[in-house]
Amino acid sequence: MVKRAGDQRGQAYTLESIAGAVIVLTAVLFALQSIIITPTTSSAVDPEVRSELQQQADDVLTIAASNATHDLSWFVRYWDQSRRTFAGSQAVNPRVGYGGNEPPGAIGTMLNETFTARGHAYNIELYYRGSNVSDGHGRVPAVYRGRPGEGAVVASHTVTLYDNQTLTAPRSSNAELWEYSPNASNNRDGYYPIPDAVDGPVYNVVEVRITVW
Amino acid sequence: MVRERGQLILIGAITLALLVIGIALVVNTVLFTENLQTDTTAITLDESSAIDAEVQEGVRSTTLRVNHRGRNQTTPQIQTWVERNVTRFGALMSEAQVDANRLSVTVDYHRAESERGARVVQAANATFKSGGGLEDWDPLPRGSHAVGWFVLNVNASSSEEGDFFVNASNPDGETLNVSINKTDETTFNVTSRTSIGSTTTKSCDTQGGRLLLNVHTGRSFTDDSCAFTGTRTVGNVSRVHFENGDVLAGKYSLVANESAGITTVSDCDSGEPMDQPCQAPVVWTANVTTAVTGDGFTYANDHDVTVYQTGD
Repeated sequence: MVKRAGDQRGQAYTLESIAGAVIVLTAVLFALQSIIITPTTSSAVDPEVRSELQQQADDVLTIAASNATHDLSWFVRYWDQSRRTFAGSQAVNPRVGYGGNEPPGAIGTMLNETFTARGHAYNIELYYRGSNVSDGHGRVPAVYRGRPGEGAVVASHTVTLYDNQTLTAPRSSNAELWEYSPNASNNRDGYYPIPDAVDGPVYNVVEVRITVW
Repeated sequence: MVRERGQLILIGAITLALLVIGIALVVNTVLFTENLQTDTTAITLDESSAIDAEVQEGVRSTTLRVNHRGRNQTTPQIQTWVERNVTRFGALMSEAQVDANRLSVTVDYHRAESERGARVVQAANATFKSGGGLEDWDPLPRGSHAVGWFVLNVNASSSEEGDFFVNASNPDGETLNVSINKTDETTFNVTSRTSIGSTTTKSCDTQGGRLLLNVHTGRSFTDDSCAFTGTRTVGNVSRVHFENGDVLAGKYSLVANESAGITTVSDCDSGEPMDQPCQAPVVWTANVTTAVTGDGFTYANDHDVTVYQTGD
């Protein structure tokens, strides 16, 4: 009789320990899921907020690309040779491009209204193909506002440049793109960092990449 | 003893309930992950569609530039050049997309499925008379074609005062008459009269002694305020007639979708002088297959990329 009661108590302790383990595991699992699923209304980590930012960044690029006068090709060619960075008084220096200032044209206005005014930061970088396949790609920062934060989203749009296009900055010469040198130390031909990547009328394909966080 | 059994049953029930909750959470996690995966695929397909549109625009611009680069090419030569340059463009686009979206892009040009057009061009400064010296003549005689490009590059100093007329019409009987009249060394009056709208007269300024008129779109490259009714507004213009070709001097270029060639001008590759009008073959529509390949999917499309627009 004594022995049977001891057995049952042992079983009860075993079951209690299993129940305890399950409670702890369930709590851990639930807590982990809460971090991913539970929306925190304004956090950029929230998938819904990220999805919204992604869509807005895509839309800004699509609309800017189809602007009648100041499209993305215009923006990519808005280059000031003397300062060796993008043109306009808002440009800061070659390392950060327009930095914390609003970039010119339709893209600048839209990015300002869509992101800056709502407390989001963004970078704009141009990625171009090298003169040779082995060169890979190069990068020119058009707007650099720091290292992207957690949950940053990236949107990109490609722009094709052609040999017979010219720079769009005020006081640019009528020289066509192929006449410039991508070599910064070459003052004679004029400097434009994006090189002529292939023979023929195509000059380069440039990816305009926006990172928003 | 009854109390101990009751405790045993209670703990067993709690364990079972917790197990059910645990399983529910695990299943929920799996479903959540699956949903996210579907979302990602949908976004990637959206990207593919956008890339496809970017590729078509690139093919259009590249083909246009190849078409207008020279004037002495034969049809096989222009086909080869377009194919070569579209392939180069496709390779650059693919490199860009691999970097940007980890997507591979291929663009294949099909010369047999692409349509041919003809470009009537006078590549050096001369009056706008025909090769035979006629002042009134048809650079584009009536036929089963439509104009997609029409640009005049007028040299002000070599032009005389007086009206030069461009008369255009389409198979529906709609007409356009554009008269260009030099008023002084830096200004021309451009008047457009059309059967489908009102008459407009604009004063158009030159730059560097040249007046660049896009007669197709009704715009000037040298004066933003110079806007008039162009052949594109009339649509499907199948005949172009020059009148008083001795008044203006300069260069011009006109493109129509004409597979059989244009009878009023010689072929440029037959050694025609640069200051005489002649015709050169162009690619009117470029047939390409674009394929965007990502992780586990390929999005392929066949396109007839229209290089020239015949109407609004």
